[in-house]
Amino acid sequence: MALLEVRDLHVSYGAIQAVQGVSFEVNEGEVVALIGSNGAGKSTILRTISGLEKAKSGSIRFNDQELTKMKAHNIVKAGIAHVPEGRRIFPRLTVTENLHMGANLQTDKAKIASDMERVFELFPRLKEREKQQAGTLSGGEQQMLAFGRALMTDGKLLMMDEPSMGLAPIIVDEIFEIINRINAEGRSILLIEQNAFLALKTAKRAYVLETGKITMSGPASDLLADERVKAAYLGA
Amino acid sequence: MSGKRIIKSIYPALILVVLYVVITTLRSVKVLNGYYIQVLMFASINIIMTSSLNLVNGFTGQFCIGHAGFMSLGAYGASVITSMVFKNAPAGATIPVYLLGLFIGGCVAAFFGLLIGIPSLKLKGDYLAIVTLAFGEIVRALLRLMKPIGGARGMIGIPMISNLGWIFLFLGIVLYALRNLIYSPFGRAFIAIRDNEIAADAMGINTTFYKITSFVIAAFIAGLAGGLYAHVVGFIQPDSFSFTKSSDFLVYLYAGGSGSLTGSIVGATLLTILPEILRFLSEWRLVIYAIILVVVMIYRSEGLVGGKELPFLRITRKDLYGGTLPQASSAGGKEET
Repeated sequence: MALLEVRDLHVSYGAIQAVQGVSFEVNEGEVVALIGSNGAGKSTILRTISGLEKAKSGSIRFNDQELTKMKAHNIVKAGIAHVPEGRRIFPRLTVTENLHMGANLQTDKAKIASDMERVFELFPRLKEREKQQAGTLSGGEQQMLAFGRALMTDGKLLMMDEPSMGLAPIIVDEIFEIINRINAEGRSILLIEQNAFLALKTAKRAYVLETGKITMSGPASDLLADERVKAAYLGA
Repeated sequence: MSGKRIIKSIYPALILVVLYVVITTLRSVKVLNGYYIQVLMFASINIIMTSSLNLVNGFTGQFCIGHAGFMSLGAYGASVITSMVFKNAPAGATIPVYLLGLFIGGCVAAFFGLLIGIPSLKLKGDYLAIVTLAFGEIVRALLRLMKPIGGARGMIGIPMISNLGWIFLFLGIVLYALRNLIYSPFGRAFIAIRDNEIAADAMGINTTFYKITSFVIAAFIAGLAGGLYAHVVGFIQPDSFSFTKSSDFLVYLYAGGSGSLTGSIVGATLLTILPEILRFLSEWRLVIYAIILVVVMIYRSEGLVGGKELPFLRITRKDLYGGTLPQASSAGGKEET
């Protein structure tokens, strides 16, 4: 059974139908990518799963729990960690305090400390800047912090919204390498990316989203070779 | 707990006690007259008001501009208890009745804080500001209509029980409580909501709960300040708590530095005392006062204190966890410019 199962999801902003009957699933241990151009509805889907937007209809099941009626903070508790678009860190808190916010639902201090060690091991740069206010970090470091903070929530499913946006290629490589490492340790990942090439190289399966509907899906390697995907998203 | 940390935790109380002893001594040798003492009492009440407003505006990132409304509810609540309900209480019961009045005043204000906290869930920024402004004015209008408690003419003959000692005591308690609240792991959620509400949501913080909590706590403290104030002046009327009064607290908050308790202390103290110092200028007083404010905001737009905090008004991670967490490496704290 799938870890996350989205069925016939509809989301609208007023009269605008952003998501029109989308269905997909993420199995345990998978990296799944949603690709598509600006405005296709990718972020909206993640935000709806997280409870930041309300679904108009459809169902979202995670670990046998229905999420569509749940509040955002309970969805985090259920085990979904969200790295929102545009690195929404807490600029006036320090790096360590930001990471602590990620662990705010956890009570085991020893576990929090070891999770933090783990995050610092994955992102040595954050360790170097642990006492600095997060707002003073560079863009790449802020993305790492948002990533690390989501890892502190200990969710089974990690949702990443445009992790490559606005970052230097070398940092993007680093971030994607860590996505692979985390996945290898058993976390499932739902990734949305405009950089379709990167997303398809990282993911096991992928869905192509166009104006709120899924138009293609399959193993990422197949989509990577697909002529239509190449023409539309890979610039080949 | 090591001795050093105990000293650190009672440090603020110590400062207030020393200050109190110095002031009362100066008063008894007639260096300070009653007028100075009254200015100091108002300054202290203004610190209580400003630091409670700071919890909502400065730390949680909401925008309340009707804070005097909560103050008036507290002032009336407390005064009804001391000068109406227990009007004929025996002399020995004066202080308990006074304390009960302050508490009830705080509770009345907190209840309205809860009511006003609810729209804060839907509204942000300017829109929330308008609702809180309207709230302050509604409270004032309703109090004007309530004849049994004086209507527009106000309440007179409130026992003048508040003295510098009581006010300093409550000032100490309020600052201590706010510091422990804001710089605890619980309180960090307020700051997270201010910094980025969506990220706070995505981290599993119950933003609804925290936003309402901040309004309720701030309203309770403002109500308490109102009760203290009523028992200094002995006379209150609805118009004493108009929007002008609310805007005073906003000015203290932002001139001192929002998001810093030290800022609230500095802002409220300086700006309460400044107009008194400028009295020799007579009519020009308010002009000079306003010019000083403009200059401060131009040159220190973050406020006089600008987000800094005196050491004893901030609790560090080390104080909370006793230094069990990984310490900074030598490379830590490098500034990126």
